[in-house]
Amino acid sequence: MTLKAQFRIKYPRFQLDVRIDLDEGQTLGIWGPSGSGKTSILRVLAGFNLPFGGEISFRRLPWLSTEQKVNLVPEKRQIGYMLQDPFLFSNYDVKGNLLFGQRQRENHNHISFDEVVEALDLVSILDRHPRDLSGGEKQRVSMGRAILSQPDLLLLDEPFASLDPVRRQHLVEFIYDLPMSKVIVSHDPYEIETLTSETLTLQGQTTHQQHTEQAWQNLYEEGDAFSLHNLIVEEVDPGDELCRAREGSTSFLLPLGQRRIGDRVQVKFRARDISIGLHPIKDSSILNCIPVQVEDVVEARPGMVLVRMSMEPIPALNKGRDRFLYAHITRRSRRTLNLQPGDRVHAFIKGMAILTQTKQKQQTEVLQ
Amino acid sequence: MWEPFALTLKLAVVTVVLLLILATPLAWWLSQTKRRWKPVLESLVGLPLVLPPTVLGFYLLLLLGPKGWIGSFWVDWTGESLTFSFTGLVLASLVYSLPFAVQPLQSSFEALGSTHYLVARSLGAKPLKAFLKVVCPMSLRGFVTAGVLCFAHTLGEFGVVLMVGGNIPGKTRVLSIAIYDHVESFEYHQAHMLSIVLLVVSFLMLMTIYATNRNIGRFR
Repeated sequence: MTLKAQFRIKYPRFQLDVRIDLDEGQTLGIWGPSGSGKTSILRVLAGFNLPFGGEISFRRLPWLSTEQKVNLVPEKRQIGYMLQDPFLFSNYDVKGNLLFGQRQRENHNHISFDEVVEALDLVSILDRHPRDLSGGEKQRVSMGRAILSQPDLLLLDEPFASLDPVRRQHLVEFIYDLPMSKVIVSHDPYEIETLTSETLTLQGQTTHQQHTEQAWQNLYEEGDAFSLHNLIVEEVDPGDELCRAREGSTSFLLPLGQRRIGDRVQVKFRARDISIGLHPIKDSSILNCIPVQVEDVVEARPGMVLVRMSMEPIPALNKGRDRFLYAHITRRSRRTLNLQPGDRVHAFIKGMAILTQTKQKQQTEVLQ
Repeated sequence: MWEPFALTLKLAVVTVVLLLILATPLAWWLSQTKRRWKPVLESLVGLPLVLPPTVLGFYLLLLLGPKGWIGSFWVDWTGESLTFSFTGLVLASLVYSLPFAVQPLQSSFEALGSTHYLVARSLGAKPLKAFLKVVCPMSLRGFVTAGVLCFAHTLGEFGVVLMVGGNIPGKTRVLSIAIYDHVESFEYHQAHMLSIVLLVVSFLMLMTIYATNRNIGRFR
């Protein structure tokens, strides 16, 4: 194993046990809902944050060991870390930013400046100042700066977030071809699917690593597809033991047990527990009827299809795209409803699982 | 008549240079630390802001005097007294103007945050290099404010100088004291000349801060 990590991150409200095993030259995708700790994992790997306890080693060199009190400083880890925000150096122009890392590590140049500048389409803006760049341009400069520092391990946090689709496709291929080991955080299942060989899924308080192919096979074929959501409790009905909990602009009515207003709960909706209707339904036992837009429909098991649907975006955060629901329905239902990408439909949620809670210990339970 | 002016200028320049060198690491440490006794240090640094200059000058006089901790050491070492000397004046000014250097620097470091510094280090830069090549240039506004404020503050100091430096022409007789002297002996003309210079210089200095900050603001 090239990268071997096992550590615990503590937050005021919950903790996360991380376990990563990555071979040389492989790419690990980290996938989970927003606020689940994806960025924290990268910060620990980069040496920006100290975890609560654990060990990290890279090519047998210990980076971190709380037992042996080892904590290798970021500049000695040979990493290139592209954060979610660009954090460009405003005292340098674009070229100066790109060369900053390369200047520190002159010893080995595997990746040429011209190649990166070409691939990231930065030729025309090399002399520009960071203040004059658009969001997408800043992001590309930040990506180029991380790559040109000639790292042995590349850490990318939502690298394609503010890029247009054509450029995104182009850059996904470029990143795929880079020779070093990579860890990529993304909320986009398709980026993870194309770029990575291993997938780390954040489920409640633990992580689960598997081959990306396997992860996606499970997702599509075995009926194991699910989505994870961080909800905030807004209303409590102690009589019926129901809570109204919200994620972004979407609110759910769920039996979450004993809660208080403001509690955070992570839940998992399984594709097999969700059905689809063209109109909201009344006179039914179903409490949750969520307006969604069909993103795509893929063939799953014999006679079944998997429908991916996006919920209302959170306008301020531009975070609608990672808030998907998946539904398993029969091929015939799909035909009867004539479901096409872009259709506005309603998702009916029958059940869910609670993954993490605020106070009690971790517990996975299925509630109808 | 212009001797106090030259002396004051010299004092201010020396103080600013030394203070920026001393205050930068202190301000950076204060901006980064999460230690519990950070407020203690911050209060100590800020003390000259609220203390009457005469109180500060009195304690400095005791400390720097031939029988004080620092003063006696200095006498042993150089054979000269720190009080009523230019060196003593510089030391007193350093203490007196310390908050004017530390606070603008600290707040500009805090505004910048530590992420740029960490990114520079993740790109392979050693801590000092990351600090000098990224943090300092990006906190330029703080340095300009700190420098100008210290300079102006040192130009106008009176109480501390009077206590520690006295009124020795060519050695410790700075502008504000010279003005006071002229007024005491009804030499209003001379007092006017010196005062107007001080007033214009102070105004120009403040304008420099505001104009530069506006420009740097645009530069960001």
